[in-house]
Amino acid sequence: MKSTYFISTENGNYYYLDINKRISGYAHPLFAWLHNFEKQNNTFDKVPDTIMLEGIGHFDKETIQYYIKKHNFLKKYGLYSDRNQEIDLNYQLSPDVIEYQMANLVQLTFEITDACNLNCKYCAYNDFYNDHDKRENNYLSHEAAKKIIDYLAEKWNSSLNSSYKGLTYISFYGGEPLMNVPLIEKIINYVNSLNLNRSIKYSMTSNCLLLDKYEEFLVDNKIHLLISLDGNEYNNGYRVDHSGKSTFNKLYQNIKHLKDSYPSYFEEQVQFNAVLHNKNSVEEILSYIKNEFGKIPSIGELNGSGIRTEMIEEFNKTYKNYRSDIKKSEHYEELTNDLNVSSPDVKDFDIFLMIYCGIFFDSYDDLFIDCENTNINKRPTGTCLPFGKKMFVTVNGKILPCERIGHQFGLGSVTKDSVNLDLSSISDMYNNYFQKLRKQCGNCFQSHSCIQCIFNLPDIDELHTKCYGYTNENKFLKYLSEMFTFLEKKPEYYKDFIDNLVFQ
Amino acid sequence: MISKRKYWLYLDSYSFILSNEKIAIIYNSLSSSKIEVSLNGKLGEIIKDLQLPKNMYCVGIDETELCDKHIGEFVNNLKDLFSGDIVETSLCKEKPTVIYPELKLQNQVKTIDSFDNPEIGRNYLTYLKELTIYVTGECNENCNCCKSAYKQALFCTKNYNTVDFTNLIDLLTKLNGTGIGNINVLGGDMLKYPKIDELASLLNKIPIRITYHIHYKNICNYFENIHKLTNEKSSVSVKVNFPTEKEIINIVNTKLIKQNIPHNWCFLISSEKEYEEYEKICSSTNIENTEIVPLFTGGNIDFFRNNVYLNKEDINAINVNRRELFMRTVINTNNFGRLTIMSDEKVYSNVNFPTIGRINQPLYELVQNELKGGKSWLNIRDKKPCSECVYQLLCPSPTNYEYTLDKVNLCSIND
Repeated sequence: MKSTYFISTENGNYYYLDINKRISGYAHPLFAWLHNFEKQNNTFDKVPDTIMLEGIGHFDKETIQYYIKKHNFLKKYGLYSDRNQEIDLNYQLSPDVIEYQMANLVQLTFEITDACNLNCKYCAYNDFYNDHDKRENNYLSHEAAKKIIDYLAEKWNSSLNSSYKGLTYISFYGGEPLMNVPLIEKIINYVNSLNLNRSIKYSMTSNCLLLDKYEEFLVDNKIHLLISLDGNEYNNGYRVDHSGKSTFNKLYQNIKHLKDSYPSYFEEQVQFNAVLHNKNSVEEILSYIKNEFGKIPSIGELNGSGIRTEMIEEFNKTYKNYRSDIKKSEHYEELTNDLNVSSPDVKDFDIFLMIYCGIFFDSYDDLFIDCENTNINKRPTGTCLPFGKKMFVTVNGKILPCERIGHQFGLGSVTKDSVNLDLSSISDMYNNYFQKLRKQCGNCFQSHSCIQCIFNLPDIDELHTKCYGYTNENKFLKYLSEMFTFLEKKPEYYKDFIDNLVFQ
Repeated sequence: MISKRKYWLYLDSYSFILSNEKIAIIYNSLSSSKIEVSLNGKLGEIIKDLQLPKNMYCVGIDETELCDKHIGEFVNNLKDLFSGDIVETSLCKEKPTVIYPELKLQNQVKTIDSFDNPEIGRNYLTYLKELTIYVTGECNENCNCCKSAYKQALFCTKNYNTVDFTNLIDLLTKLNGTGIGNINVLGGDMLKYPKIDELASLLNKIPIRITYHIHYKNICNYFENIHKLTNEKSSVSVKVNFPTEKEIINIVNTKLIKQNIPHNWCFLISSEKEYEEYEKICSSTNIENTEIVPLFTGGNIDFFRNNVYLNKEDINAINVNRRELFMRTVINTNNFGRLTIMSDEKVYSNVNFPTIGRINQPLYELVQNELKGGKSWLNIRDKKPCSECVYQLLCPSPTNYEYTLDKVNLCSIND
């Protein structure tokens, strides 16, 4: 693979991008033509004296020679070289790394209960899916919660914690977490009693059916609240109670009451999360939540992994693709503007700027890394390191790296007596999965910016695993073309990215 | 009426526009070529327009403007140095856009309010790159530069303090998870440290490069044991100041070579005469791996003006790539990530500034103290006259010499 790519945009302009040097630029059409000429195993001494590019123009010898010189100039400074190996094909996760991740944990999420006062059709724990433990209306034990907090507190206060008062979210998840508020209160009181070298913030994902009872508790404890709401009453049609009745009016009243009673809490601590399906659209969700509550929601698709075979047809009927839906809208531009960083196009462009353009550095430390001239030892796939972003503790004490993956991938467990995490076994498990995908990652053109999680690959435990994120050269060029097209359409976004955006 | 040809004038994304009120430099961060232009007149307007974010490094010009002597010359220079180009607008359906080079550093200390954001403190320890420890101040020599040299360069200094060995052990056990790749050990005469053998044994076990900085006159008493200090990842830096005793240099050099001790020589130079003497020593003793370090004595400003101050020629010879240039906009590349522990156990981010804590404080707390209230790591060329100088970002970060001379800059351009 060579490091320099030439791309044309929807508008017919050409750009070049060098993956190693992270340098891009506008390319004169003749410059792009010469690149393709050389790519087809031609040498520049075979270039004719004059060139006629159809629909573009006629170019003389002097102009041709100039762009050959520019090509040679860029080559001299490292462009057009062999593409650096981006994946460390020998990468081995070690227990030390996992220990370090826990000492710097960003989010500890408790499944407070698996009971829920709603019975949403598409719920990750409902009929569509078979990759979760049986729901038995259980409550997480206080002792188990304390055990895992103590286990982590020791690491947070050790010299492995490399942050000064680094932020850790302790999050409450369900089922419906408001069905077990006494436990939440106990956990908060316990954490607050500890002397931790972490800044702790609390958060919760809730359907808000019990919000009228507990809003004061949430406000008093500054619990960041993520409200699940799919839009207006019709849009919310899958969010029904166990007798199949709509809960919309009650939810609406509860949320309105919170907004009116605690306006500053609502402004600072409340966000909305909607699921996209066949009873709503991005446009409807956005316009309803924005108009009623003044918020821009995050919108997610139905989870496509772990679906029961017999439910695939029903799932497909219910499922809606975010990108297709937003592109179908007559108000595409306004929607993208409103969604801003949550829009899929903008998210893609952010990643493009962060990975490929040489202008983004996460911290001072990154400024010392000479990415241009070194291979980056990236591990295979886009899977987070275990506990690199979060730790999820289920109601049954199972410990997972994330709440979005199947319960069969438990990495350990916690009981009222002990925490059982065998870091060597966890390393082995990840390394086995990486081994399966190493070759595909090594040949993938988008391995730099991969976001594919191994736990969401349906055949990860089969002998041969196919990565759905695998990108060949044509697909990669299409991706780059979309990025430069976005840049031409929304050039003002670049400055916004530089000045205002913060990425987790 | 014949319509004028129109062009898009654009820069490449590796070209920086460095400017002050009067002039601009188009700096090519691949080749380091520079085009200097005055910001007067029509060309000045074009440069200013290129700098506007909304224009994304691309502006329209027409045939008449291209015939202007200054603009035409500028465009030719841009093309010749491959820093930019023009393209007829008829060849583009849409205006070209270029991702101009502007640093996006997500977690940085812009204001003191930044510290309300816990993300700022994330992974602080990895910022640490180098530790310098003055283990003892004890020394039998009486060098004239003893109280000044260590504030200008890595050099020994004498006093009555000694670091407690248990505190040193505690410190060394805390280095796991930091980005520290080098440790410098100095004194006084560091060989007089009561636990020097134990310390060396400990240091040799950790996977970090160690340099022992020893005055050439002090090294003679330790030859029997010097091999205990070093292994494949450690070395000795032999410090020399004038007046020198050539015979001792000869002996030290011979013994270090004989014992196969990895080493280099560091000479403090405060005058042309000393430099000549240094050259004589080099040729007559066959010492190798030497470096010279300027020493400001208070009475040798002319020596500094002639040999240390940067002039325009020096600056024009500077090659910095895009990342290095970005670094100079936010950190002091000489100091960032470095901590010095003096023999009284006080910790400094730079010995020219007040202490930021003590040896037994958590390392992340020391980093926090420096980033929040320190004067070293984030000291960049953002004060007058540097802040108004077009070369501001090409110039190296402020050094200890600026602090010693109590000057913002050491250059003949804005002296």
